[in-house]
Parts: sequence; structure tokens; C-alpha cells
Amino acid sequence: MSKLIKLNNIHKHYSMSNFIVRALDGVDLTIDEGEFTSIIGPSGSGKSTIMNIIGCLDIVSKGDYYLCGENVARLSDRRLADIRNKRLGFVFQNYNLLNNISALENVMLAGKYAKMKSKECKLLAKEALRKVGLEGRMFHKPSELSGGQQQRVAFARALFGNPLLLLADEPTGNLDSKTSKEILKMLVNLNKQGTTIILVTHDMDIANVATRKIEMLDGKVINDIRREKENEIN
Amino acid sequence: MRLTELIKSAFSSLWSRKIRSFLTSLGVIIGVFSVAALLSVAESSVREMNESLSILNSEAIEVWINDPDIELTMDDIKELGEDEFISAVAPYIVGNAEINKGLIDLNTSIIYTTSEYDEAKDLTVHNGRFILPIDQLEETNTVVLGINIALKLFANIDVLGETISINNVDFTIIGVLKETPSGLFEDTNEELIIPKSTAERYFGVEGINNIAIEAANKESSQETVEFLNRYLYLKFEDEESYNIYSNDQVQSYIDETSKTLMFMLGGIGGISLLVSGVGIMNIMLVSVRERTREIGIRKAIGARRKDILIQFLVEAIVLSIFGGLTGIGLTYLIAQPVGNIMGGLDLSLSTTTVMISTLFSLGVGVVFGLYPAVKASKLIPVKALRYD
Repeated sequence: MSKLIKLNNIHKHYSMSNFIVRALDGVDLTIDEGEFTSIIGPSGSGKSTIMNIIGCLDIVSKGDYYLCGENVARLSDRRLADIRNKRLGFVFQNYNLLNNISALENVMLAGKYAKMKSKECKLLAKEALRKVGLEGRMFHKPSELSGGQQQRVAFARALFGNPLLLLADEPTGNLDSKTSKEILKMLVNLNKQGTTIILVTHDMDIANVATRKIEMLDGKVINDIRREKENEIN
Repeated sequence: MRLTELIKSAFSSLWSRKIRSFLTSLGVIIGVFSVAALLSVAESSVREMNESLSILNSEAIEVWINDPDIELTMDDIKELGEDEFISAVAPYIVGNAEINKGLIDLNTSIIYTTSEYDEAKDLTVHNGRFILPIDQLEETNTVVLGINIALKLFANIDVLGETISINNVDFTIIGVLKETPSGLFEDTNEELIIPKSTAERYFGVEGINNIAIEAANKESSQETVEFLNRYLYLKFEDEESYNIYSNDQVQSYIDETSKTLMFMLGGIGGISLLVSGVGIMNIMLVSVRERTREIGIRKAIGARRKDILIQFLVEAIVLSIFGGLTGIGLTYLIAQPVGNIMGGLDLSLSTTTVMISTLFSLGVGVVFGLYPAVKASKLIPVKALRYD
């Protein structure tokens, strides 16, 4: 398998009023294409920060980040936007859908930013919503959908352009246990279909769904375990 | 994102906040209404001034002596009359007259002058004749009436041979002037004209402090003004002691005044438009703050800085253009009826006013929408996503 992500000595510091927070403190990490990796750690361990760095939502203070062999730490804002649009997909704990537009329009947004033709964009968005089982709720606004349905819309939006990497930050955090299991099954299936997934969670049971588990503490990777066996969702 | 999509998105976003969008536009509506209405008033006034000037004799020149201690003589008039650029020259003095005819008393302007006055001022007699050299020579009690004076005294203009009393001296009417367009400084229709020599005899009028001149042709008008300037300066050695007015000068004076008037009135309206621009900026800044998370989501999905910038800029422009067009529509509906109430002023909107108002409102949208849009576009995705 080829290397999708390579982090070399990544540091991320935040300046507070009279002290510096070291959110990431020299992280080295490699993730291969097709891997299902969970990043786990307590609050403040740096797990969300590393996801933001990998997702090009934030920039590093120091170090190099290679995505598909390209050092994205040195790219322009415009190029980073292109990467987020075409190579990455995000699923957040609070869904992050736009409330004033329908589920279909939310999914179509990614295509619109890719300057895709409206007709083609609509077809692909409908297809993505069908895949997550929401063909009957396409024209509903997020406020008219349940939490699980909103998260499915978020998945449809994340998978819209067939991204190389799906980043999921506590995707089941706001869901009941039944819906959480459905979402996790969806992640496993996506991974089986070849999508590389990084799942950030503080819940060990959820982290165990992944084939690789990275534990973080105080901005450092303290454990990196790979498992051979199939994922199990109880 | 394609521009059409961005515009659609801007409309959708503004529509979702209808009341706020309308109230923000209201400032622009009032601003554009002020600009358009005030420019209409200015244009209308300038148009009326130009219309009255355009029908005046363009060869006419006036000399006014300002200093009461100096005066021109009949020798000066004779000398000026010999100049090749001058076709007619007449001295005149403006006075005030108490007129009486039967039960009617009038107080009006009276001109003491010579027989060349009608040519110098381009006047035409409707009934009878103008003053002749013989009237001047024999100091006859003859008077020529402006048409309105004739109507006021007799209610008609067939009044030749009638007698009226001017400052308690009887005068015989020898002519009534045709109606003439009122000038910027006088209205001949409301005046009486008698021989200067008669006025000297009865009313003790002396000296010459005004001259009416007709240049030989329109082209020589400027040269005549220059000649008069040289002549009068040589005589009085003080250029402050006299004024020379030609219609060309009056035209350029009006042009200057028009510009000032347009800038002033447009400026007053412009200030309210600028205030409305501050309102747009304020609301757009609030909007950026409220929608910080949305901006973060859009950036996470792949929106570039340019996409966010254009989205917010288009929203500001839509607000201002909507306000601008509504303001123009409102002016269109209101201006003319108001003009009619204000004594038949033509306050119709000109293309220039519509263009200026529309461009100004567009400018307000761009200028005041730019800062919030730039601010929105520069948000860092992760910080925007964390915003509550």
C-alpha cells in the first residue's frame, strides 16, 4: 500500500495571554492508503488538532505534512481549498450542515465549489444521498431531519467527490447507540470499499472498530497499534 | 463557485433574513431618493435658467458703474458708438416711479434713456413707436410702456395717446412694447421708458451709470467686452469701479453656478447615501459574525477565499442595488407630482440622474461591502468551525 499521509515532526503551538499551549509536540506519523485509523485520547491530548492539520483546516507551527507526496504545509490558501474540495471529506460531531438549504443542496455544495455543472452536480448528490439511505428526505432542511439523518447527509456530502481520505471527528458523539452503530457500520463498509478513514474519538469502544488505533496524550503519539482481525461492532 | 450560483446563494441568504435585508436597504432607498430628488431639482433649475438665457439677445452687453462718485458722459457714449464692434449704444438710468391713472396707483421701475435703447436692448414696439431723437431733443412728456404695465393700468394694450401721471407729471403714451422674455437682472415688461432729457428736466436725474450696448455680431461680443474694458480702465483707472456683463459671461457664470449647485445638492444627498453605506457595512459585519460557522463549513467543503469574498460582496451589492433601484422608482413616482405642487417645476428624472444614482448605490455596496467580505474570506477554517 502506498503512503497517503506522512507527518514529520509536526508541532502546533497556540499563544495564550501569557503562556504557550503545545497542542502537538513533535508528531511523526504515516498513514497508508486504505487504512482505517482511529485516533484516541483524552480531552486536550491533541487528537482534534491533528485531524485539523491532516484535514488542511489548520496550519502547522513547525514540521512537514505530506499528502500524496506533496508538502501541504507550504501550499497557498487557494491550493489548500482545492485539496479540501477534491481529496478530503469531513464528518463532524455536530454535523455542520447549512440550515437554510435542503439536504440535497448541502451535498451539492462541494460540487458547486468544484465548479461542476449544476445538472451533473445534482445527479451525483442524489446518488450520494441514495447511498446513505436518504432518497426520500432530499428536499428536507436539516432542521426537519433527525440527528442520525443529518449525520448521513454529512456523510453524503463528505463522500460526494470520492475523496481519498474521510476524516470523522466524533461522528457518533451526538447520536443514540442504535444510530451510532449504523454510522459505524457505514464507516466500516466505506473502508471495505477502499476509502481511507481517520476517526477521532475519545470512546475506546468506537476506536476499536478501526484496524489501527493511535493513542495520544499531551500532544504526542504514545501508542500505535495495528490489528489484523476484522472490525467488530457490538 | 460560478458567479450565477454565488448570486443565487446571496439572494437566498438575504431572503432568509427578509426584514433585516429590507431595513438595511431602506437606508440606501432614502439615500438614493435624496440624491435623485435633489439632482432633479438642481437640473430643473439649471434647465430653466438656461432656457431663459437662450432666448435673450446674445449680442447684448451691459456696463454698470458701481462707484457713485464717477459717471459716464454723453461724449463717452458718442465715442463708444463709433467703434466698429458696436452697432448700438444707449445710456440709461434706472429709477423708481409712482404712476397714477384714475384710481390705479403703481410703483414700478422706470428707465431714463435715449432713442437707441430699443436697438441696444433688442426691444420691439407692439403699438405706436419708441422714443425718437426729437423726443430727446425737445424733452417731450412721452412714455413707452412695458406690456404688463399697460395691462395693469388699462387692462388692454390699445392705449396710445392716453395720459398717465408719473411722479405727478403727466406723460402721453406713445408706444407699448412687445412682450419680451424676462432677463436675469430686469423685466422690461414691468417697466416704463421715458426720454433721459425729460427726466433731467422734471426729476433732476443726472449722470450716466448704465449703458446698454449691442455688439455688431455674436462673434465680436468678446472683443467688444475687451474693448470696453480697456476704454473704461483708461477712463477710471480702477477696474473695481465698473462691471461689464455680456450674455456669454452670464452663461459661463450660470454654468459655474450649475456645477456648484449640482455638487452641493448631489453632495447633500450623497451624505445620506454614505450613511446608508455605513449601515450596510454594519449589518454585513454582524452577518459575518453570525455566519462564522457557515463560513467555516463552506471552507471545509472547499470554498476558496475568493468564493467567500464574492458571496458576501454580492450580498452587499444586492442590498445596495435593490435600495438604489427602489429609490429611483420612488423618485420617479413622487418627483413630478411634487414638482407640479412647487409651481410647475419639471422634476422628471434625467438619464444622467438615474445613472449617477445607480452607480453611486453600486459604489456604496462595493466600498462598504468590501471590508466585511474581506474579513469573512480571511477567516481560518478551524477557528470559524469552532465559533459558537
